[in-house]
Amino acid sequence: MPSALHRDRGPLDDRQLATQVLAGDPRAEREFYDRHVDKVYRLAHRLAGDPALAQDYTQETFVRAFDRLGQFRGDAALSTWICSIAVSVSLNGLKSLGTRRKRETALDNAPEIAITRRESNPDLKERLWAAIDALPDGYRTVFVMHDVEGYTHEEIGTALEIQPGTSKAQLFRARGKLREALKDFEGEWT
Amino acid sequence: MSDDMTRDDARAGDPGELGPQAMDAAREYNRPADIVPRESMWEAIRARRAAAKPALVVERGGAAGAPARPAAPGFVAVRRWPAWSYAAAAVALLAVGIGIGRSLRGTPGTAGSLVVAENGADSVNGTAFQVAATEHFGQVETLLTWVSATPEARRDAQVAAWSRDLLASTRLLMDSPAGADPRRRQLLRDLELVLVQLIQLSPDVRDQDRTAVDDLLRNTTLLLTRIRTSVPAGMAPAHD
Repeated sequence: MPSALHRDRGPLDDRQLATQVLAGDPRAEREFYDRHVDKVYRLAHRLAGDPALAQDYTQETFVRAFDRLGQFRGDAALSTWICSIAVSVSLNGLKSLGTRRKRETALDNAPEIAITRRESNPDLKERLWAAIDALPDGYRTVFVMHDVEGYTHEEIGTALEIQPGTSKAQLFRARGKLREALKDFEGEWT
Repeated sequence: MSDDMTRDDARAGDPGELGPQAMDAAREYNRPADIVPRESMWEAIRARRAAAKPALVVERGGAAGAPARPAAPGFVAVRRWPAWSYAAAAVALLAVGIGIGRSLRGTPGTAGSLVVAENGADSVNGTAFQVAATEHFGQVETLLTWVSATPEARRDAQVAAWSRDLLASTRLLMDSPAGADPRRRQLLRDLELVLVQLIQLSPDVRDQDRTAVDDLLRNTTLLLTRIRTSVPAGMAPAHD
């Protein structure tokens, strides 16, 4: 069902919507939220691995986005701009918690476990997730955004304020580390 | 390898994605539930923004005439709507002050038996009323600064309620020893007038009643200056 804004004026583009939000239009605020909340929540959840944290980070992202919307210049898509806030909020939040979720299987112990449980796909899945957890923040974020959530390198570059080439390099390294972690399972897994 | 790769560099050494099963597993990594808790998050966002929005900021010990502006380091944020708690605190403090004052006056038959003790009691008595008056003027200053800076506040029902409470405190003070000082008594009288005007203005005053609004603003500005002159900087209580 189209929102009230759509019925009255037709769909607003990013800049128009931002202008309406800045003017204090509550319907525009809700429209802004509805347009982006799913993407923000998914990204926060992918990074945090916990629904409660994902909700906290999503809320914080929107509070900051509303506060800083006046700084949005329209150089990038509004969705990319808000994703950059979401990534920053999530990573900083996780750092301050000091508790990025650690799988029960620590990466250092993984090879022997992998050898003994080669046939067990659920265990291998856990092993891959532990390997992703163990990636440095930059690699993990790029891997999650690109290979898991489907962002382009250009979008990632804008969101993380890095060059697209840097995003590619970090993805390359992330995949390399994951392959290394899964080297006992060459073939269909790597 | 440097952090910046060209597209060709990346492709040259990169064997591409992980295998299909690994990619399937990767897509399950920290996967959120299909249902996003939109409404609960929206309510939380609205509540947080509403709590943060209002703040009226008064510079700590600062110069007169600085109304509302965004909070910054070194400033004391005064929340917009603990109006009832401010008023209640002021009334409670006044009651305590007046209670202390009355109790220290002594009872018939004992008064005068110890001159030194009586003098000490008068001193405490005066201090209690001084504290009560300072607290009260701090509340009034907050209200009037806000009203001066925020046109819509002049017609706000909660401003009227807050004004009514402060009016009651003002009249209590006028009848207390704090009102014995002629200069302070005159200030309290003028304050009473402005608070009555505020109560009468809000919330249903019509736009054409410009004279009343102009009178109120003029009186408010004058009164603010007098309050700030009578209450030394740093004496008024800070609220957060």
